[in-house]
Amino acid sequence: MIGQVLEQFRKSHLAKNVTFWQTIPEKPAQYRPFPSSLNPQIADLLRDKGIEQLYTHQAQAFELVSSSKDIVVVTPTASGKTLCYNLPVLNHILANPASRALYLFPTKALAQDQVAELMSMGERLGHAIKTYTYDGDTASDARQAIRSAGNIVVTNPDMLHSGILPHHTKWMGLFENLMYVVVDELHIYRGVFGSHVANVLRRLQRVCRFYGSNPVFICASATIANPGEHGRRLIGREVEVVDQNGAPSGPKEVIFYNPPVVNQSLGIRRSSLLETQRIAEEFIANKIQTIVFTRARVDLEVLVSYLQRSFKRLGDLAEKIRGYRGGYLPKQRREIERDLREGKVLGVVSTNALELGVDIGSLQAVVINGYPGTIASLWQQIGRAGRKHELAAAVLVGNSSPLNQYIITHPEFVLGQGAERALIDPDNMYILLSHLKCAAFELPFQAGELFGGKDVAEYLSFLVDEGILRFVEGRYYWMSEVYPANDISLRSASSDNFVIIDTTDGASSVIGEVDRFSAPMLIHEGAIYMHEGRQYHVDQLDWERQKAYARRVKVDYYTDANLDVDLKVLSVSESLQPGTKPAAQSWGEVLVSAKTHLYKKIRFYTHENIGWGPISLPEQEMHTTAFWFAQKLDLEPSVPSEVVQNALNGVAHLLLNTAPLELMCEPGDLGVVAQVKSPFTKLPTIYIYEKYPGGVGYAKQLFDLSRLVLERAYQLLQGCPCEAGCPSCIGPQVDIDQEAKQYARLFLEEALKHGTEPEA
Amino acid sequence: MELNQKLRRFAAGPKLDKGLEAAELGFANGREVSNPFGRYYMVEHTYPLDSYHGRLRLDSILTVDWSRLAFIAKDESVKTLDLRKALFLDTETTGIAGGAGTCAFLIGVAFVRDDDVVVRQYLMRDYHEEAAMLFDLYRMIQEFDAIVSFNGKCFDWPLLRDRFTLARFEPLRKNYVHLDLLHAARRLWRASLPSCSLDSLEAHVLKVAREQDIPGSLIPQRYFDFLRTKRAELLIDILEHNRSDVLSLVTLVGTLDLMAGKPAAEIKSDSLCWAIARLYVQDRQWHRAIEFLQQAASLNQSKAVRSAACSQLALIYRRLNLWDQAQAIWLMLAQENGDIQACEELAKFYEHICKDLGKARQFAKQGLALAMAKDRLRAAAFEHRLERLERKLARQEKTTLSVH
Ligand SMILES: [Zn+2]
Repeated sequence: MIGQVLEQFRKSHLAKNVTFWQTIPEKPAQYRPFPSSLNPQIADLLRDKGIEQLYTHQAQAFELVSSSKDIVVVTPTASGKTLCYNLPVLNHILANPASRALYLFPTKALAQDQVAELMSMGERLGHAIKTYTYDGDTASDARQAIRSAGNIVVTNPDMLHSGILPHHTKWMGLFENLMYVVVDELHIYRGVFGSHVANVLRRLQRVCRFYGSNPVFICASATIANPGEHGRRLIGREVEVVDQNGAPSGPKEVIFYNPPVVNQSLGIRRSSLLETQRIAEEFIANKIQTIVFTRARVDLEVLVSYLQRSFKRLGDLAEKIRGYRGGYLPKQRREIERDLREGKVLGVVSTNALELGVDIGSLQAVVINGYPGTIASLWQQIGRAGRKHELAAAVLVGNSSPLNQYIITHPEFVLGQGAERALIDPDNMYILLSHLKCAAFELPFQAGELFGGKDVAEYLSFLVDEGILRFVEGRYYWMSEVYPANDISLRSASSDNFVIIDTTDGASSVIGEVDRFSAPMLIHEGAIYMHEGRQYHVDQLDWERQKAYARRVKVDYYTDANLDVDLKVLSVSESLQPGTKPAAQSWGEVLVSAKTHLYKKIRFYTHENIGWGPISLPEQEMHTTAFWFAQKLDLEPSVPSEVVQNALNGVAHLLLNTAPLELMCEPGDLGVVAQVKSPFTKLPTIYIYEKYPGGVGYAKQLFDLSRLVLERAYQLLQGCPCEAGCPSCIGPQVDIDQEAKQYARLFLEEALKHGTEPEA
Repeated sequence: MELNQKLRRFAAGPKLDKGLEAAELGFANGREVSNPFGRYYMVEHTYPLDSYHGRLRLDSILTVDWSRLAFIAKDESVKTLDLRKALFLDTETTGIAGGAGTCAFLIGVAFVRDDDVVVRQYLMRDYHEEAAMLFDLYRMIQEFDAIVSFNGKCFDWPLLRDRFTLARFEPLRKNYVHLDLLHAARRLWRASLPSCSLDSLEAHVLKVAREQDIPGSLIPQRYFDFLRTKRAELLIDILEHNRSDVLSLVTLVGTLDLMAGKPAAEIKSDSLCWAIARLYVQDRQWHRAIEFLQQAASLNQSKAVRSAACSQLALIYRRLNLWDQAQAIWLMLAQENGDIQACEELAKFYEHICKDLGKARQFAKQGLALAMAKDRLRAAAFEHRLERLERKLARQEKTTLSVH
């Protein structure tokens, strides 16, 4: 069936928009017999479930963990990942009923799935093993039982950080007997969040040492380029990588589809949403179970209603199309998951909520509306398609962002290196300092004590000077009434975010957050704030309380604040300055200061300026890290500097949107500054800085991969069919007579020619 | 070794914290104590049992009827409390946030020894003295069977157990009787006092005068100031505050016992009387409850208490089948206060007990009129009742007619 649909597709007029089509052949399973040390009760349980042998990676994980090795299992979707940790843990607990394990999942929903699975296994093992979730929803009377009796405690890093570790004395029973820590979805713990979580795990290990335990870490990750390195950085210990996947997979067609250009000069492509709908419809109409991934919530709802509407005509199919996202009630989600497994739902539109370990069985077709942001998640989503022996298909539909256009036109990037590197910097000064406070609250530091293998004496004496710690008789004690974990959120990009409150019709609900640094630009009074495709007018910004009050409006303009960003280099960490050539690449510490003076109201489509307003908010300063490169441009003196500025801005825009490819981050995690003549380099220079104070390693990574980064930007610019700049490359140009695109290309060409090769 | 570590270890100047002697604190009845865990500071005061703390003498504790306390505290185990094995306990802490970073720097305990109440205070003069201080406290607690505290069930006691855990002491094995006076005090005084904090009870009930007392919320910061400056006078009022708190626990027990023992006629506050009556109601001691409810109603101090007491009285009468008394109260409530509940009770009473359908209808109508404005659900119930009554009445009329 699916073969016929694909064949028709191949022959249709749509085929010319396909930029890539590849068949991934069927892969047979590789098995190993049950290990001899596996408890016969567990072996029976597995046989009851129809499992007669283990996949090779499951067996390997079992052996390594049984010999107390810390591991990272790298597994694609639906490869029996959970057995990699459940088997050794259950096996050990059956033999040692007092021993305990801690499971960490990034979200509550995933934790609940796991608990259901573990509880049913525990019951079948004669109620010998008790599993509990401990999260914000756990009733207070149940907490006592969990602390004292749960063999397996399932929670999330946030709860570990603010609810468990600061109260470790109440969890003595757990920590004294803690044999295993399971960290699933390791790849989610990257960037700022990952840097926080790495410190939470340092604190966990410190508390374990206090109670005399030294648990084995079992981590599982989606495919990333550096699982071993990432695991080691995250848990602070050497890890063995298990990446020889023994699970079978059926044959699969992977297709990249680029919506056609409808306006050549402006570079506008047909909406990826509508193209996604069209392709999904084709599958579903042929009774092929299909999952559609889309990033934004609002797109999800739109797609569901469009698909339902189209299928109403076909009779009963409309009810077989459902939406699925994090905001749905758990009961509703369980129902949809079950209906998917049982084939009652034919089409589901999901955010990345279904990308992670939720069990929905395997579907035959996947349609992805827009590159999901990382290659790891792209593969997770593609992995949702595929059944044993049966042909499956995955279609990626690109949108017009530079990142999407790069991916869709350079499929070798996705297939070549397979995945990107997850980056964290647990030693980010601000993050580390926050967690040292929490750690000192939990247990006094001894003079000379290392934290995550790092000498933190200077931090501790700083905290003494601040009056937060007290140093006496060789120890640092917490000397404050404050409960520090409450002030530190693992998830928000910055500890002091501004919230946007929707006041429409007397409501008062938080609809979004903006970091302090971006607040003057995005939520000044009079700004039009966009949220899920809706417009909100900011009526009031309470700077002290960090709140913006906004109400829904429908206007034909957007606002653009003139942000004067100044960037001062504080110190250069590494530099590449090839001889006499007038170019340089560096990374280092910078001070970014930003001041907004006014904003403009700009009409949609025509881009005409229809008004402006003043902004009087304090100047923002941030200490962070940046990557920058400078390149001399030999232009006629007659070229006005505004044109050069436009070209550099265009290159900056391009880099801002393609750099995340190397960094596994969002474009919003970075900022750019383009200077025609930088005071520091004396040359045209582009800075890419990290939006999180202190940085989490992106700047260094950009420096290490600078050639690649510039090459990608150049390729994308070269390949873009627009005439003078468009949203897919250097951004829309107001005045298309200018030669911004041409100078941007020249700038990158020169930089590639001169600047990026180390000296011979 | 890093340079700054070397400097720290070998080149650091004399520390401010070293060698703080007892003499430097120099508190009356204070001394430094040593044990295998180190040193700490202890202050011990004895108060003869016949001395006063507030308006009550300490020896009021000797005659306490513990089953009365158990009744107020709603805790059966308090019945078995043995005063000579009871430790009155109150801590001063470095914060109220809880968690491993909150510690008790001063622990005051009181117990009865011979003819005295002894108040002993364990004080750590700096963080490193905590283990030594806790160790002696830990040993002493094991000699007792019961704890008397104010909010100790939620705060002081779990906090101390956490500190013992952090000091790596074996968990306490004994099952202590724990009389938490906060809960008992709340039951009695919630309605009549602006707050049931110990401060408020001291001011309004125990009549303990506090001169230049430090507010509890400032204590952590004051202690941190002491740590930084080591000026002994910063601790003086904290120690006094804590001693007074511990003694207040003793007289609070006495006061609670006294209150619970008083006949209703001697209680001159309607809300207190009402609170005591509620305890008897919950304990199903109907006749005692009636006494206190009657007193609460007859004191006639607030309309709310009076009508609540009357309603409750009528319900008890109904339960005891004392219909005349119940009816009298309902009639009074319905007339004087326009009490909806009373109307409902009367309608039920006349319909089912007296079989006087006319009167039943009259009160159902009154109830409906009253409920219309306030309580839609109730109004609907009255409407329903009225319909049934009208049907019954019509039937009755028919029967009457056919008889004639
Ligand atoms: Zn373009």
